[in-house]
Amino acid sequence: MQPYTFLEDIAVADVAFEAYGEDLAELFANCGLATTAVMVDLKTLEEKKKRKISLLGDDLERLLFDFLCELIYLKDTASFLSKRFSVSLNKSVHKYNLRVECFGDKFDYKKHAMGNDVKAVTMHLFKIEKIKKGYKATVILDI
Amino acid sequence: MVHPESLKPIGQQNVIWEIPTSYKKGMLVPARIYATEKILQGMDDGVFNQITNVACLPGIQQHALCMADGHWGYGFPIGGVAAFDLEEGIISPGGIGFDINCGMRLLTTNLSYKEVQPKLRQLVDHMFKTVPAGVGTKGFVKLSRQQFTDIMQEGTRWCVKEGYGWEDDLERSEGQGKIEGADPSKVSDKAISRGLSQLGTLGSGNHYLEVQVVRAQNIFDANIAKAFGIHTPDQVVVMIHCGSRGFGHQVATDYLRMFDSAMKKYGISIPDRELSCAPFRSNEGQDYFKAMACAANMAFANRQVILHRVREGFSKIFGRSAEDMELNLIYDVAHNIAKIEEYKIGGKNKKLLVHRKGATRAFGPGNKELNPLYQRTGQPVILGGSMETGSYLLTGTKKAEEETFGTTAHGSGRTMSRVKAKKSIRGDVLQKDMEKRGIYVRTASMSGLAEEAGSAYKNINDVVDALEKAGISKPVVQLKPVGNIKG
Repeated sequence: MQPYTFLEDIAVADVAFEAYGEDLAELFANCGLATTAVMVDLKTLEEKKKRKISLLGDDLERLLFDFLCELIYLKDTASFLSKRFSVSLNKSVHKYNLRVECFGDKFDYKKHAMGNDVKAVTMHLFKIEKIKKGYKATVILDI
Repeated sequence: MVHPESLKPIGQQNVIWEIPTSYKKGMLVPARIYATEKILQGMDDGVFNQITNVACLPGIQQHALCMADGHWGYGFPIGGVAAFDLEEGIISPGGIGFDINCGMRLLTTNLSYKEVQPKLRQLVDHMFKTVPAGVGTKGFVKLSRQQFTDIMQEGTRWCVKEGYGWEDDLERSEGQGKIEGADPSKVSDKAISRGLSQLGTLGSGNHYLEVQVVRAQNIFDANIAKAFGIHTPDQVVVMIHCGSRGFGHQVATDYLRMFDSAMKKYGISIPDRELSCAPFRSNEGQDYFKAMACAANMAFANRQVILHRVREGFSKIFGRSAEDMELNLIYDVAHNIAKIEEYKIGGKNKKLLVHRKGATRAFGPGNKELNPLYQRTGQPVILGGSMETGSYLLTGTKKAEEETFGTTAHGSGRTMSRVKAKKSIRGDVLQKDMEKRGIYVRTASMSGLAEEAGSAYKNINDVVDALEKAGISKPVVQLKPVGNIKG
């Protein structure tokens, strides 16, 4: 299964993608990769630093939305972008507990091929769906 | 494109198209699209779906409007305009956009292209360093949290006080570079952390700093051009397009989340989650309005600090003072904002909350909000085009005040998605090609440059044609790019 694909025909001024995962953890990781790939050519980024994100939530879509917002927050406040995510997602009775280790580097215009700044995650057409081989998410990022 | 069959032209010019309330269940008012037939044919389905969704929002007045540069956005289309009753109506972050008070600024010089051309590369290279562009870049102004709080409340005034501008700059800005009602306590720590180091940065996407030339054949109203400070053959001007950076984006994100939950509480149902909103008079609605004002003021200040850097850059490269080169602001105008303004509804004056998302205020001559300089001409309106084809300076009109809540378009509007443009165009090839055509471009991102190619946009002349025929703006000059810094 390909991790994500960018969509050509919707949200012309922004960037829309679909990401896939055999399980929810993989889906979250691939959504993180797609979001980062808009901002930097992932091939040029190295795994030099680690950041942790922990989130709790009762709504899976909201949790994915919040996770991607955290990546944008790290981009602006720590100049940090990740090229790999190790995701653990557990559900207790009412809540999802998301723990993500993000492996990447401080971005540097001299070293990295930078792309577009992602301003925000939108809720337009935002969804997680169960598909035959796992899960699919549709996300539109504001550019 | 599949256009609504019920689309009907209004008036004789075939530039205003109405979709009646029968088109979609829940529409409270008709939707109107301002476009030539050519533009209308090329508009994506998203525009029709989204503008008719806007027509369903509680308290909407007269019409949900979409301007000629309209295209698929999220929630509202880009180019969307809607005014709401202050008591019955809502406020929606999706009607303003994440980049709160994204806007345009245009300044004159008294230099001709002949004078600038030999040093153009040096000038653009210098400003590329002093006005950071691209992903997550940091500005030169180091701010304490207290200073950032002052900026949220004072906007451009803070910059002038700190020496980053001239007193005159205030008079030449929408609302004097400030929106009233800002309350920093309604802004999250996260938003402040994102914005604290970004004052004086362009950002990326379609944001730019551009050196432009006014050719004699591109002056359509010489008298008004002169009143705006454009009087020399091949005169050079500078355009700035950017907004409130990560600060505004976070304010919008925070309230979009909050409104998503609040809607259940207020029993509002909407056709698209991105249209989430709250009653304007509710606590949530008021808090967002106060936080949005903070972000709007930061954006005014951001463009002011960039203007300061441009003045410094010209002084350094040409060895003359900015005053001597008449680097005067023509105007600063917001195109992602909600403001309380007064309009005639059913023969009576009424205060409304006007949302403009990718749409520009366009007040006509004699409007009391305009400074004396522009009382006769009407408000300068800046339409930012693509970096290849150029931009326009226009004026607002009385007709815009009567028909479109004093609003017009904001640019040329995209037709090709970023994803598609990046696949079909190479940034480095485009850069070389533009240089051959006399446009020197520096960019923080080659792939980002490809996405901004002129072919990804509508023809701006068609957009201006629609606005002129509809009578909601009057073209003054067309501006051709010669140097561009792209985020």
